[in-house]
Amino acid sequence: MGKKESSQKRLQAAKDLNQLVFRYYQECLEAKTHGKPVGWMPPMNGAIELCYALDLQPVFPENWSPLCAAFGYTPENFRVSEGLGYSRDLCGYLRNIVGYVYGPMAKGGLPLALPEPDFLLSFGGGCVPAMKIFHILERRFPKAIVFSADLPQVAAEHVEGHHLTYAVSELNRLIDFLTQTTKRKLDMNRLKETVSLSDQASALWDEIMTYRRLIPVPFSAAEIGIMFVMVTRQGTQEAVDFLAQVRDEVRERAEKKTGVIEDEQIRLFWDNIPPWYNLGLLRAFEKMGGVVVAETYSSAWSIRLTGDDPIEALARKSLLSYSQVSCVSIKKRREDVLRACREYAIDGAILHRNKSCAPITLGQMDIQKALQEELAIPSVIIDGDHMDERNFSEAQFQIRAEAFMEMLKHKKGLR
Amino acid sequence: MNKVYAGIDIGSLTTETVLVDDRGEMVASHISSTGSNSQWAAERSFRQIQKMTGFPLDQITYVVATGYGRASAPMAHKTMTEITCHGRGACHLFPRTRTVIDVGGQDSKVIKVGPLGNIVHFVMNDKCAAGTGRFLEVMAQALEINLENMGPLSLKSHQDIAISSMCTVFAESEVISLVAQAHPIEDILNGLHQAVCYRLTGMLNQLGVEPEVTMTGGVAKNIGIVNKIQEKFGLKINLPPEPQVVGALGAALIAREQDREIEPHE
Repeated sequence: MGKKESSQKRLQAAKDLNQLVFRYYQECLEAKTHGKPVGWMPPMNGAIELCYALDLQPVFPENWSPLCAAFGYTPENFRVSEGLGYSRDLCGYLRNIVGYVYGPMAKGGLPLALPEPDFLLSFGGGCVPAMKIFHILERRFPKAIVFSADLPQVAAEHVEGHHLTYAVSELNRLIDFLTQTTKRKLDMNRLKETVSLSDQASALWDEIMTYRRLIPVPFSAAEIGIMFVMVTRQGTQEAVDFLAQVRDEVRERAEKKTGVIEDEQIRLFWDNIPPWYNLGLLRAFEKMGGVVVAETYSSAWSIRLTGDDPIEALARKSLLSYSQVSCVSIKKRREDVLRACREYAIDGAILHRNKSCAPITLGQMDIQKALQEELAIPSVIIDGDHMDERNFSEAQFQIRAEAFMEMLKHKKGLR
Repeated sequence: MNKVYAGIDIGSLTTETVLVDDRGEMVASHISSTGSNSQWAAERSFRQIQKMTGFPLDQITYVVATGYGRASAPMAHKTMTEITCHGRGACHLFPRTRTVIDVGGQDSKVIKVGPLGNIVHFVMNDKCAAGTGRFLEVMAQALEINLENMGPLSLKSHQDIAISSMCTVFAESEVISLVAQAHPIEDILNGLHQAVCYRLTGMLNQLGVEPEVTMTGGVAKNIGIVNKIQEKFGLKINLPPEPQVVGALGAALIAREQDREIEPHE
């Protein structure tokens, strides 16, 4: 594969993100020297706010994987996990973290690294690889104390009172575990504060996303890295400040009608997780007058934490987080994509057939059919992988992307 | 001849150049192998067509390049994908075409076209190039026969043999093992063509087959595969006189439209 083109960031905040990422991972490594216990956990559930409220250091293996892809750490991690017998057909997030913890983590020498966990929060939910990752981590880090949570996987529209009651009881069990294990006391006012900060970040996220409905769109999927704070910093002032900076910049661009590219001709939707090792491929569309205006992830972070009871709010978030992206029915996925395509005035959809994520990829044929029949929106399938570059062909991507743009331009009467 | 327009299709295995005149009629075509350097292939193909026609290359009004090596053609004024070009070329030759099957050296495509040859929808093979021209070349080598003889020979088959693997490497092993079991070569070829047809059927079903169907690309020269698709869908497939140059023809026609800013089929 030739030299990759970098994605072009238009927002100053997106350019500043690297420092924020570096600061977070530095903080993770320094946590132990400050007497702060380190816990590894899946993202998007209520444990993150709880950890920040208890002054514990949350670490997210699922966030570490895209970082490895962007920084070029994955080939070595994959080599190690494949050497251990993990098949190339498995999820790239799983193979990457397994390879990392059994390989480069022990050797050291990388500019960024993860600290060993003192405790593991195994949530027993999400997609199967997300659960299996923690089973493997339990074996790799036998000294880490394990909390095995049990939450039902219920579709968002089917969550009922008894589900919430159960989730609250599980969250209380988690609080007992964390306070007893780390000998810390939970200050309810501090918890309310972190929950409030998390809610403010979600509100800002929603506000930022609404600007993407404008023509021309003020920022694109090339800037989606901003979601880093929604994964790792929920419940902190840093996340709120960062997103406020993004919002201000986006608002200013919107008011001045500054688009991502000079002449926005085609508005595109990206379905599925992007290839983290090559976000620069979005430039291919931009050079042809196309901008990826929205993506599957756009709505994944807007779980508002309202109400007076912070524990109930976090319990609800934990229940809903499973069903935001990967644990949804095909019907719901289809509805979500169609709604996004209507809201963001989409001309064409790019369906990333992601070898590394069967749950999100499943149903794309239905989505393609529904887009064409219900909205007359054409779509193209791009074969790839969100983690493993070996499952992606730049030449094949280029031909599909160009042909798709030629087709869409002809449809809109642009020559 | 007043003005001449050129289309050049630099594919993975072969490079084709087509010249069309002011009325959009094909005046010359040339096919050569691409080799290891796309730019050289383009320049060589252009020189060859000049030799054939005697038409000075610097007087070609507009050039459109297509195919995998389209970005490497120094003489091109514009590049277009082969999907658009095959659609245009197929509709020029058979104006009622609504579905194009293009099986080239390293990929296969099914393209739905509108009345003006514009692309309405398309699907391509996934990352694996099984069932394409290169796949057939490897199988011809394994069976020690000429590529051109594969189609006619397969028509003599009397027994269906299933080739279970479509991976080029595994299928080659399977073919060698069938040879070792003394299966007649025509039956093995028939099985291979059946496997290619299954793969194309998946793409055709995905898009929906709307007649007329035109087949382009080198694999359209294989009568065994063409017959299998015709039988499977119960329809007659349009076959261009030279299926390999349809992409280059489409590119030349687009070159003509670019120069004159005229509508397709004008």
